[in-house]
Amino acid sequence: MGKYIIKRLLNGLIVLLGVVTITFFITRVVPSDVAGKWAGERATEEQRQQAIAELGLDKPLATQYVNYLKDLLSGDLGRSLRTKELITKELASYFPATMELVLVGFLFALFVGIPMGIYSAKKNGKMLDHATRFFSIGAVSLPTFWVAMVFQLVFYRILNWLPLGGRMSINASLLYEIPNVTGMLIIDCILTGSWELLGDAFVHIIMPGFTIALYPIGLVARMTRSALLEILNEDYITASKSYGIREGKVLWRYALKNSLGATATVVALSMGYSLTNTFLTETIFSWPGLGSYVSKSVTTLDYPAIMGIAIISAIFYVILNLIADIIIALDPRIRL
Amino acid sequence: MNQKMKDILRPKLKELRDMIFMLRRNALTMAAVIALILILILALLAPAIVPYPQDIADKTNLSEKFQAPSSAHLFGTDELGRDVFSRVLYGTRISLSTAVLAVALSLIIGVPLGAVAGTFGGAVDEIIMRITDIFLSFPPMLLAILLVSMLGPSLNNAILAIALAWWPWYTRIVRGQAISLKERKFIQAAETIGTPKWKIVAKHIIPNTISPVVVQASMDMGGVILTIASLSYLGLGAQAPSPEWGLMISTSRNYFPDIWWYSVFPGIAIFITVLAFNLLGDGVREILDPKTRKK
Amino acid sequence: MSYFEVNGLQVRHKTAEGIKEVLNIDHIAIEKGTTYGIVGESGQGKTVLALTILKLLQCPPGEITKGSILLDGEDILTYSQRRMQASVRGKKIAMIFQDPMSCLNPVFTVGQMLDDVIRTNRGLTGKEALAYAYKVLDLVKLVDAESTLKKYPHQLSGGQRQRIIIALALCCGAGFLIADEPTRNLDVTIQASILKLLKELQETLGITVLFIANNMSLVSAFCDRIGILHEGRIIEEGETERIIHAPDQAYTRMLVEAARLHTAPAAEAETGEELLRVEHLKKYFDVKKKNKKLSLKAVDGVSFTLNKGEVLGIVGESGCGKSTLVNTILNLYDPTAGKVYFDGKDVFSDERKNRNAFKKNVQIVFQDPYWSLNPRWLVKEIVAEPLDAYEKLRGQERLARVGQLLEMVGLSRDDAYKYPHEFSGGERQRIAIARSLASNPKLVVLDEPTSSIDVFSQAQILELLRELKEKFQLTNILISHDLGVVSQMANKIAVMYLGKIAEFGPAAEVFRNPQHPYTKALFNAIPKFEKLGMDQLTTLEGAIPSPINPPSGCAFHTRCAEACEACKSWTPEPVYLNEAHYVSCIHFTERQGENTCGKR
Repeated sequence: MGKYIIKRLLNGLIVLLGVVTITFFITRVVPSDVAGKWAGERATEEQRQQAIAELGLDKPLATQYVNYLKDLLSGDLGRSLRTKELITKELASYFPATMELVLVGFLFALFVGIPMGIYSAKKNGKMLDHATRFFSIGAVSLPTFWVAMVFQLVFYRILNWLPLGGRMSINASLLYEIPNVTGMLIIDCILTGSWELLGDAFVHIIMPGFTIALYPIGLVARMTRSALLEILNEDYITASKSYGIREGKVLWRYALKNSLGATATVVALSMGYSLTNTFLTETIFSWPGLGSYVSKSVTTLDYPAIMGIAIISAIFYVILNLIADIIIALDPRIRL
Repeated sequence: MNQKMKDILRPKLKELRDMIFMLRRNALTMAAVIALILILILALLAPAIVPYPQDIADKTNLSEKFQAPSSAHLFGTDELGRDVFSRVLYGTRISLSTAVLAVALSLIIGVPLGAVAGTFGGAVDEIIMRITDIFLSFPPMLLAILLVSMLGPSLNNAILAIALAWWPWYTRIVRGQAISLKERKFIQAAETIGTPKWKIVAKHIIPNTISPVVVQASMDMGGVILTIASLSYLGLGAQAPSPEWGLMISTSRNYFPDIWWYSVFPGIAIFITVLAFNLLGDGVREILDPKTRKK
Repeated sequence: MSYFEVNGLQVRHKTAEGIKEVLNIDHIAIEKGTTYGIVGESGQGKTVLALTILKLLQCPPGEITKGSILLDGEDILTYSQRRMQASVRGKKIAMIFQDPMSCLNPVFTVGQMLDDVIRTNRGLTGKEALAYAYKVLDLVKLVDAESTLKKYPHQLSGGQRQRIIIALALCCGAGFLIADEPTRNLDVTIQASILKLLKELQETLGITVLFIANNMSLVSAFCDRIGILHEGRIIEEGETERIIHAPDQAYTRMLVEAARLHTAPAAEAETGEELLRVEHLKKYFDVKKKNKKLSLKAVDGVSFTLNKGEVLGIVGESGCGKSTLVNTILNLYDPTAGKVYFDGKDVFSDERKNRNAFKKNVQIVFQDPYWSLNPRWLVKEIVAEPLDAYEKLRGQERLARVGQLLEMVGLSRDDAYKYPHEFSGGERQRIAIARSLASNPKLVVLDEPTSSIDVFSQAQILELLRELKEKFQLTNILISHDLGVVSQMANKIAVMYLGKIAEFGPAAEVFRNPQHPYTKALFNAIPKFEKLGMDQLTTLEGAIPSPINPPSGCAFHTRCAEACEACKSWTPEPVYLNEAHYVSCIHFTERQGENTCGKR
């Protein structure tokens, strides 16, 4: 088991190295005036040269690459061209808010997506199966950014049930002390016992959270259903039934355990999609997370920041896959 | 039609007939097929049938801006007084054609690499698959966002970025196919017969990998359309005054939620198109899956 | 009224081609405590019947249109799923499934599976359940029950898995057992021991068994009565004795014939000069196990000669190396050591001319014609593939040759413009044969040529092969696990065990009077029609050892009934009984002084 995990971990590191290498070389190959941006729009030629030296752009490409890797290992992603701040610091301040949304998506995937998939498989071919299938495929066919807007239209503009955006109302932010332990507001509120703020934060996360959760729910429900259907068709399931074991037990104890690996993989995958979707929706909900940072960096072509985002997303994704791999390894057929 | 053509078409027709039979048993999938045919017709005829063809570009008619949906403007008008209905309809053409281009491009990259990896194996396989793994460890949309933001925002770059993010999926499928084909006895038979290696690859292996890849590619269309719209929404894809759906929604945000129709209708268009492709893909997968087909 | 009855049962299947009737059974009646055999080929509705009885048939696409299934006088077909589960499945009827690998849930241990079944049907838990599990494992004669309980299905051998499947069915405690081809895909020697076990259990526990099989010989040994299932109907039914010796229907007769061993095989062909000589051929595969490099000795020193016009049958259990041997001779694998001469020329030599001549002169027909023909090619392209490689024929000339080849194998010229899937299994195999003959070969290898086609086509294909052999004076190598097929075609036999030839000789001699203990065991594991019942079967204990680490001395000594101390250390050399017949067993060596067994 240990050996298997180390092997997967090494594999993850290779992937990370690949991501770093590819992003590095693309930014260097694409013709763009990085030094000009760094020096500012009205910089003199002299200032520009100085910027080139400062950023190490005058050195050979290989040296730049090695230096970049060295910095990376010490946790230094360079400075943003836009804000001139350390990117590591900026990412650290934006990441928790995004993580909060991704976690909501994860919980929904787990507690809504999986049961939905199971139910759909159980009622295979019946009206309810068609309905859930339609819902789950619909959920992955929706453009998230549009869903966010439609939610705002319906629940804020028309019904006025939920706030338009932000993590908390202005009143609450003035009235209460804002706890900061993990950076994820709801968790921090629970940890510090700030119950008044918790209610406010909860109301604010409903819309963005559900927007993000739609895709994981759909994907997980769909994949769980098809994995289960495949397994329910296996001979050993027929055999179990022939021994007089109850239908429910066959489904919940046998089939589910068999489909665990496939489900874990798809949950991990759906978290990757959640992360991407936060990039598209956070600005709409004025959610102070990575997504807002991404859209600012993207529109200003802030390369170091974009690379930083690529790397942190890759790390996030590699970790998710590692967890999925460990769950898959619980299957006795996998030789460790 | 000569005899030879008939002979070549006969099994394809049978496959088609079986397919239609399976489709008919699945109402959702059948509905998707009909919707797709309609969408395709709309896309083809768009320039001829839109009520205000001149509104496709940046014609301005400020006196008519921000009109709510009416019989003259089914989906209302936008900030320049252009007919949203005409633009949404024309957007179908853009979305479908860019998606086809992006998928075709990723096939061009992915299929040969997969065939080479699967057929030759060894170090070549190892290198190709390692690279593939790196690309596969990202959600395609995220990778496309990163690539296009580095390449510079434009619709062409968006297509290129999507292709660069998508090809590994086809490489993987083709490689798997090639490997399993190598085990098939007709390949061994060709070897004992003495058929040269290049001929085995070209005439036995490649023709047998094409159809699963084409099926997969058509199933991916929905995802690709969504990705293009998302990139355009972020300002990384189509540029104004293109009537691209994602771009229209992005622009509409400035006037949201007061001018709700400007945002809502392009989104519905995206949803219906992507949904139809995904429903079809899901149905086709179920039909082709030997495991669900078995009993 | 009988204990179990099926009356007027009709089952249909909805497919793309329309509604298909899969079962239409007028009447089957089974008395309590007896064994009833259903014989039918694959696709005739055997498994559908089993699943219908348990109400586990998938509907749709299946549909039970009418009929009744009576168990102890009650029509269980009218029961709801819930009632079936609560009072019939497991409680009254249990089933032994055919493919133990796919019927055992891969993520549960044997212990967990047994526990679940015992808990459900016996109401026992904890220690009591465990004790019961031990008892059942003992019944199915699984040695080392304790470690078996902790194992997952993939860690067991085929025979062990089959015993677990039986144990699971027995745990239910049902009085009626459906055994759906319980020994399919098992080697004959293991097949015999499973069958004996089942019979013993049936007699001691007094259960009623519905035995489903695709092969007459198994059923004849096991069952009191037999019903023949063909195209969903029971076409003939009666006492075993009567069915075997005086079948009414032509189809039944064919099934009986197909399973009969021809102890006086094909007439001795007049043999020409030497065509193929194999000398000390070895093929090892490198395998990695726990980071140690080991070699799998698939073929381990095989020598024989084959003369023009002969048919050599190679027999042995799966994993004995018969396919590897042929593939190595055919140059599909690089040999590890040894030589092969064809027409006096070394075929492993680097001379291109030799290799090409060899490839042209040696062709192969594979087991499954579905997989051996490229599904996207027209028949004319398939058959012409060897022509393109050796003779540069074009247009009309090429087409004429293809037509001629097709007619030779009993197909029509027009079939050239069809695709493989438009043919039946037997016809596809004809196409494969036509292809193998296209380059005018001297030697044609037949790798299980009939094992995946129906009995009717099987007989025809064998007839065709014999005809073609005469017509073109072909030499054949025939690989088959089916001794019946081998006995009909071969005039020389090689019996292989763990990569070595145990016995080699003229077919008539070997079949009539086998010498090597392994040959005897192999032949006696197949039920014969002359004597019904199970007593005739001898069984081999234990599984085939791994070819990665074969036993020392004589590789067969671990399972041999006649083994002695000396067998563990002495590697037997071939002993010639006569010029054409040799046996590799130290009981036959001249050094009888050193033979501690004292036999012979």
